[in-house]
Amino acid sequence: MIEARGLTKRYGTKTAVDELTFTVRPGIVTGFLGPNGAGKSTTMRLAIGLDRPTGGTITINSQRYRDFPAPLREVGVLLEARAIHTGRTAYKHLLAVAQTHGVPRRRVDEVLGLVGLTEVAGKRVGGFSLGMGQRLGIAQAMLGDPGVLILDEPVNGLDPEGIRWIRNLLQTLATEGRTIFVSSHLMSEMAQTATHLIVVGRGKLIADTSVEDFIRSASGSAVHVRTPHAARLTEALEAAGAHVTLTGTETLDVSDWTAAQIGDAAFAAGVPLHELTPRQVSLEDAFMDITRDAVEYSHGQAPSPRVPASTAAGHADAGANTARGQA
Amino acid sequence: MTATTEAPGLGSRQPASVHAGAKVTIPRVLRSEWTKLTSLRSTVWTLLIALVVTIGFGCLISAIWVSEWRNASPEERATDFTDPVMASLTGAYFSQIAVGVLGVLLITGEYSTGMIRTSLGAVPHRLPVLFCKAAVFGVLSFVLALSAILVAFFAGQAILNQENLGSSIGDPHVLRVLLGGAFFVMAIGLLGLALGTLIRSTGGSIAALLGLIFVVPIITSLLPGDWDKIHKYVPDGAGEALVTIGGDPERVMSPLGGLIVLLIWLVVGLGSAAYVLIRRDA
Repeated sequence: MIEARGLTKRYGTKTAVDELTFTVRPGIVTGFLGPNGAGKSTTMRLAIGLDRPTGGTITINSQRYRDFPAPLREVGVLLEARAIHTGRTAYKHLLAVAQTHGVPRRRVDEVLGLVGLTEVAGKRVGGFSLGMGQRLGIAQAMLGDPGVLILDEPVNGLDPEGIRWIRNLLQTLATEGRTIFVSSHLMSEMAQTATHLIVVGRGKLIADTSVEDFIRSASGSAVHVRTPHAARLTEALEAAGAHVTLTGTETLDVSDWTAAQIGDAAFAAGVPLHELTPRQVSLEDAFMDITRDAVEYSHGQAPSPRVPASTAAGHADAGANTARGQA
Repeated sequence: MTATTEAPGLGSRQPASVHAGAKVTIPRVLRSEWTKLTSLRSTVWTLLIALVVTIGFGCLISAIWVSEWRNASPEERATDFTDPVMASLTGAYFSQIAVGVLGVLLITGEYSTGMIRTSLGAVPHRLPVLFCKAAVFGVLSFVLALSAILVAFFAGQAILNQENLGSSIGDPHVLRVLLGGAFFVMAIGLLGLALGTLIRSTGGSIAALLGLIFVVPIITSLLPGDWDKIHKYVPDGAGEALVTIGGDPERVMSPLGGLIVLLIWLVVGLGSAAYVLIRRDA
């Protein structure tokens, strides 16, 4: 259980985390979603005491992180910015971390096996790919077999096989009753991994909801209709209480009604239909929609050098452009 | 690199015995810091360089002494060849660069790679990380510096004894000079660690360290009047007091005074490093 209460972090005049209050429950995977720069990483750093909050508190199992006598035993952490010395071998790195807690060597071998790095355990981390680095980070998080896992963008840099692996791992770990808190800027990823969502933008809480509810509310059904008698149909539908937007001389969008309802209404009004297409609002669009106001460095404004050049960020940027095009 | 999530028991919670008694203790952090220190190539290289420089220069300078002695006039022989122990310890002085740089790298390497976040995440009280690092590095650098200095001393004196210029380890002050030299080298390494913690960037920290141990003495020696007495109180001057036999008391402190001044530098350096480590966001 992770609890944030009025959590606030300011760096100078910039507010990175703004009065965040949320609870992450055990037994499920909770997604921590938000655009780049929304304060996700900062929140996670605050959770494990790397940064000191300006205001409010964040506790894990009702305790401050720094009060744990054996932090690795309580919380496993994977930080987005790599936190591993590149000059050390994977084995020595894990050993040094394990030794701070007296965790035995065989557990080091075990977690290396768990993430599939046994064969490269003697290689220096500097030569690792991004994906191998992520696996090593997860091995480190699992060293103390903790009840709470805090993972910042764990699928970053993983190949499809790696992504599926981590998804399964997280779900298995959650089933065992652990608290799993995973950040991502990719809605589609969270939809497949998480059960609950905490959405932030510009450091503020935007949504605290189940993934199911989020999808349902997000993909509010819009139906695209084409008819030679657009005006007559609009009149008929609006009389019946539907919300209609004319998008052309022969086309209109109807929200909140199903295709069947619209078809029936058109038949009753004697209007022929040439097209009747339910349109699914994509999750990525829905996410962009609710976070649009909160996107700090969006395209179209002054290009920001702080937008990371990773492929994952590129994906999100493409999504942002799509959302902008529709807006 | 194929991982299976199906493998039973690996992802599931371990029997308590595996982690029974798992918690952070000082001896454990010491062991962890020892693993960190000895598992980096930079440690091996810098210490190897320190060894080679200490022994190599010790022998070289001693050999030059012998050849200079053979060409010297009786007056020169009486005035210029007074401290044969120092001749064989010249290399130890230069080895400070390597040991000091290693001290810097031990912590700035953690900042530049992000390892510091892992270190402080595992030991959230933070101070054990710094002090155990200092302890482990201090002991290792002292033992290695002392070993190298002993080799340099015996080899150097053997060379000097070709002309009966050498001294013996049993002579007055010699043992103090050898131990003091090793302490001086270790102290510079620890000052490097302190500066690295304060400054965090490798380049800036090394510049600051070299400035402190090599440039500051040049400046103090140029100061007019009594101001040059400040030299006694900078790390270089204090270290000089540890390794000098029969120095000018106006310019060099007593060995005990030098030791105290160096210890004050260490306490202030590591103390301020500890203070910022606690206060700063990592």
